[in-house]
Amino acid sequence: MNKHRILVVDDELLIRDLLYDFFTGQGWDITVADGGQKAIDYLKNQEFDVVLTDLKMPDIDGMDLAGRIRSLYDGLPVIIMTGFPSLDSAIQGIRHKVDDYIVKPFNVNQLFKAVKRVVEADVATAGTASE
Amino acid sequence: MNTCGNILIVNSEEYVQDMLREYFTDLGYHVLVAGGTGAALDILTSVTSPVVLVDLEQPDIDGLATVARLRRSRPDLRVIAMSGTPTLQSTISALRQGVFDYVVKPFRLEDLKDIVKRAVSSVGDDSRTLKLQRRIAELECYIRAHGLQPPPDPCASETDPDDPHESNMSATCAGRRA
Repeated sequence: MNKHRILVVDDELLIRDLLYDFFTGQGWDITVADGGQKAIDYLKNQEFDVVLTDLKMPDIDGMDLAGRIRSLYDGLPVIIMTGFPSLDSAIQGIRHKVDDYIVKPFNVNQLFKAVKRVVEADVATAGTASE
Repeated sequence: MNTCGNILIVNSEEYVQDMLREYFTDLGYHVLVAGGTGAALDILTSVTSPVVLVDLEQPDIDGLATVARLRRSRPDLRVIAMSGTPTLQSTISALRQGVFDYVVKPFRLEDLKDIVKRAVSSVGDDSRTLKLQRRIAELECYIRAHGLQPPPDPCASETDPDDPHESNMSATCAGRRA
């Protein structure tokens, strides 16, 4: 079976390192980006099964990135993670068709469950659509 | 009957049902009303109603559970959740259930109208035929809303055997039907 491919976008090195080690340990193919622009560059050249992005970032924030992904790669699942959760950003997430919204600090095993749920739901939907 | 689309309102409060039914009926929608989850599921077995308005806080209904059941039974539904006491947790739950939009009360009916319009036009695949069908429905809706008379359909008019344009008209109509 092919490895799942995840793009993690976060301006905090600590989070990128934590998630890199964790997803690599789970056998996933992980690419990390330190901001929204870098993520867009990766998306132009590589395929991913899911994007996990921080909300507040200095260049392109996570919601803006989600919006661009919806217009360019519509079926690609996006998960927002944030240490500054708010009703407004959650509603914005709904409007950008974000697949999940994770509040930091998170338990990495809970995060992994959420990511797997989104990826597996996307595979199931793709299977139904191709029938 | 052609309408702007079907809307199902899931709400146990009669005055809310009446207000939304009247507003969207006047806009040209075919409005269906269910007082609870079971009634909504019953309606959805027989009626194509891709857009559903669900109030998350109702006296006898767990709104989020209703959304979950509706989405499980019909993943193609565009569910618009409405809440007067929104919380972060309920909004995240609604997001996870894939609601189309989340409206905080009190809201302006104009805003809800725009959301419903977006939801209706997002339904279905994007084949050219369906896009044209949607465009025709939008134009019919516009004609009704502005009290205009639709232009006569040349394809439906009786043919005049002496009309020198007859053969051209038939060709045009055949082209339109194709």
